[in-house]
Amino acid sequence: MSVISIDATQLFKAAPRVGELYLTLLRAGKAVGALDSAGLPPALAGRAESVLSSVSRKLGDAANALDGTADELLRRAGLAELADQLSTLALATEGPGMTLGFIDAARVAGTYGVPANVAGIASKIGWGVGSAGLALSVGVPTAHDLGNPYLDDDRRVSNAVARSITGGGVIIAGGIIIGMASGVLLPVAVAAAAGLAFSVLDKKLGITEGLADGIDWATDQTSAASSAIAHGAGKAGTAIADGAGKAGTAIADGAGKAGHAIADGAGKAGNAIADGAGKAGGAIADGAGKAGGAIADGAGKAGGAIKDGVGDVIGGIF
Amino acid sequence: MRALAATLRGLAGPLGTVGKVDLENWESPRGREVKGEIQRGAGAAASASDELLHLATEIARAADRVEQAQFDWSARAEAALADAARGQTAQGAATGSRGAARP
Repeated sequence: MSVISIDATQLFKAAPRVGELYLTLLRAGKAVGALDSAGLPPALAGRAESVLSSVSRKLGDAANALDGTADELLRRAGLAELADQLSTLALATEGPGMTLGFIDAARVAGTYGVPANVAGIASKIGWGVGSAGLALSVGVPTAHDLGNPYLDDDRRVSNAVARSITGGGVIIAGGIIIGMASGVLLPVAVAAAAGLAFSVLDKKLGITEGLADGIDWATDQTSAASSAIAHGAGKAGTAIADGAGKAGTAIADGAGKAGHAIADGAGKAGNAIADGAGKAGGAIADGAGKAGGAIADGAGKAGGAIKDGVGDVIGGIF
Repeated sequence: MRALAATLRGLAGPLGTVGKVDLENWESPRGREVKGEIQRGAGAAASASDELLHLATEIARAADRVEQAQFDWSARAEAALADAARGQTAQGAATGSRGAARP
């Protein structure tokens, strides 16, 4: 697969500057057009009228040509970011394994404003999950996104998908954990991951059609990319859904045991977690281990399947 | 006239300081098209700025000429009035001295 570099940052930075240029041209064009040559000597008045009219028209035409360009740059920057993440997924799944971390519930709660009960439960369960090498790095930011009024749905979903892709499927574990505690995120995160952005990509490609270069070539490429990604996403969705199912069962099993133990107030889980070797931790660690294996397996398959379509997608979008 | 020249200079200023937009990494047909539009927009701004400044300079010079002409006219008018006043004074003095000589 060829590596394609798309500079989303450059597009993001350029957008406001182009918007500023557009407004400068538009305002100056109108202001010049509103001037008149009253009070000028007759010999100069004719020339002034001619220059003012010409300049006003020139500025107006230039502004019209840039109308909507800033918005287009922003949309393309978002797509470039998504494509970059897709590319990262393809590369990551070719490596020896996923980049995994441990849960720092207090930091996560402080950083993302996760409710204390969620952070607390996540911390307890996370001990086992963390020991298995899974992290909340995807699920918690996604929960944060869901509560962010400045993000629209497209952005939330694309962020979640981007994180799931970057994390190699960790979103499934994060979603299940947070979902158990909050009852909110689970359907969102699992749907986003299990579907593996198929609906999102389809939507994005739909947008891309609107943004297409206006030539048949682009349309053809977009169609080809849709087919390629649909094919890849189908395989990926099945693989990850399979992994998620196993992961959910395993983690839920471990968490159930942990929950019972913790609920006893002085049960095995609490002591075991404190000691780092109790039954609850063991059970969760065991479940998480299975989950991690299953997800890694699913993500590997997903990555392989998606990888086939990534090149075409990026080419089609841009 | 001077107010119009100042207005033109005020409009030319922002148009002459439009910065460069860096999109060099965007290499696709649409990318080239958009970069071309941006370049044309920046070029139009720079060109308009030059034209407006040039016109402002012409108008300012015309204002200088008008002002000078008004100054010259005023000077001539004052001189003419002064001449006229001196003429009347001299005539009055001559008339008075003839009257005083009579018995």
